[in-house]
Amino acid sequence: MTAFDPYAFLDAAAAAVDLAVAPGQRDAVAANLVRLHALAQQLLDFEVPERSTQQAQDPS
Amino acid sequence: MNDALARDAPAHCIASRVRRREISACEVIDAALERIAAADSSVHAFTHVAATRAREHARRIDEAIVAGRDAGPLAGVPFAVKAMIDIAGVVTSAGSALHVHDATARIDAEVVRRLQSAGAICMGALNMDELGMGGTTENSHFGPTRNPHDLARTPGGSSGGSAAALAAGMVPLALGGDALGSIRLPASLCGVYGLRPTRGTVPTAGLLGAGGTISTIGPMARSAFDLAIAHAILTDQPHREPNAGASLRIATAGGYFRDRLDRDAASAVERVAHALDANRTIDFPDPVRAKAAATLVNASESAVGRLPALRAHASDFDSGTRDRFIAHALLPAQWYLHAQRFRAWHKSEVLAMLARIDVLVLPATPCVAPRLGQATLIVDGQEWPTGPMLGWFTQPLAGTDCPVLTVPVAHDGPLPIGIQLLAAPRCEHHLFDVAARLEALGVASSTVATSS
Repeated sequence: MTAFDPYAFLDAAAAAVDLAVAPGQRDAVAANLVRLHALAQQLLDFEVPERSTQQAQDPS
Repeated sequence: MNDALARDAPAHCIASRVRRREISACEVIDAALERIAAADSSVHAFTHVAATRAREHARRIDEAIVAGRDAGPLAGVPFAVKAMIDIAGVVTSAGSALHVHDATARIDAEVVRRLQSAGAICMGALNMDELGMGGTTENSHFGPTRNPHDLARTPGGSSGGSAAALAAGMVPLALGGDALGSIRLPASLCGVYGLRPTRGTVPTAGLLGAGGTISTIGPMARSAFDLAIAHAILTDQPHREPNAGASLRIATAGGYFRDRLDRDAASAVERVAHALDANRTIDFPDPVRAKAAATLVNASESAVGRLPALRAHASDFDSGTRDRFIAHALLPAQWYLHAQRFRAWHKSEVLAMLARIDVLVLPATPCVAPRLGQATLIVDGQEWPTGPMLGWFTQPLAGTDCPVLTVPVAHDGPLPIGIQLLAAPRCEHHLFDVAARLEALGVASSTVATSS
């Protein structure tokens, strides 16, 4: 698996949405990205069963 | 003193006496304004007190009653709303410097309109974490809200002003907003009731920053009865009086929800389970991934529409909020979509669990209110960061769309703590029934603080 580099990701994704991130903000933003990446990995590693995803789409 | 003017007067008692002309709505509102003036300099629950508007509304309620018209089930009841909810004539700040110079709201949010149509009177806007981003209401622009039970402690958040205003006896009814726990968490730490209703049942017109598929507005109060009335009005359903004797299948959550509890939180759950004779333990499905999915979905959705402000007015954000919003604005679509896909599957698992029981009892917070500024918590002998730990038990339920009620548990400690009750979508009546039973047994109790 490729290691997640939050700074490289930050630079690429910020450029994609035309957002300048000041040097003093980079570490804190990167720390948030690391935390969110860890959460995403928990889900990406889990294969959601095909059954039942349709029936629960409507929140009401 | 007239009991309808007391700090701990329930909303339904106030309305009953106003409707019978034993007291006027104007007297009720004047008393509420006096309580706010006396307590809010120390608690700081309000960001705006709408005194003129409230007095005018009270006069209209009194005129209606004198004229023989029905003033509604909440006649003369003061309430206040989280600062993300529009109040006509007031700037909707959502607790952010970004919005303090916005134009005032032209019309009331639909939730405010519905409560006012039932005779309730809006007293103003309540403090919150900036743009709902946090769990302690330590707001850098408006200042921190303090827990009325101990002014050195947080009320929780992000609806901390709502919970604190109730706990200080300023108002008997408030509205909060809940994505990952922003009603349930402060309700636990301030010792009040807080309902996260079935998502999609409470109108969202006139809310700032409450879009997306997780968050909802909900009522907070100091009694189950008041909460049930407010919920009926907010959802435009007939009011059904809670039935403390209802026969319900009740279980307690095991596994994840038995760890990371301190003594106060564990004993609150045990006390409730014992009182309800809830001997059965059920494992809530996959709480760790459910927490991750709800957090990712909420993170992505919270950043929608924020890019222009992040580009042009980054310095107007609190630095912590800004850095989180920047990260949230950069998340890949596949993370969000996979989280939503997991969430849909998880919801079907939760509904299958709720086909076997009516109500699940869970902890609300791992501990009582931490001190303001406290960076870490010691829970179960380990040190944890305060923010993530406070939401440990509310976040796994956030993506289910199910109603969840925080109930304040009476105990011997100086600081309050609550538990959560979970039911199937549109089964809030089960939650109110259980809360009413706990009240009748003396196990649930919301006490107005004395320190404020």
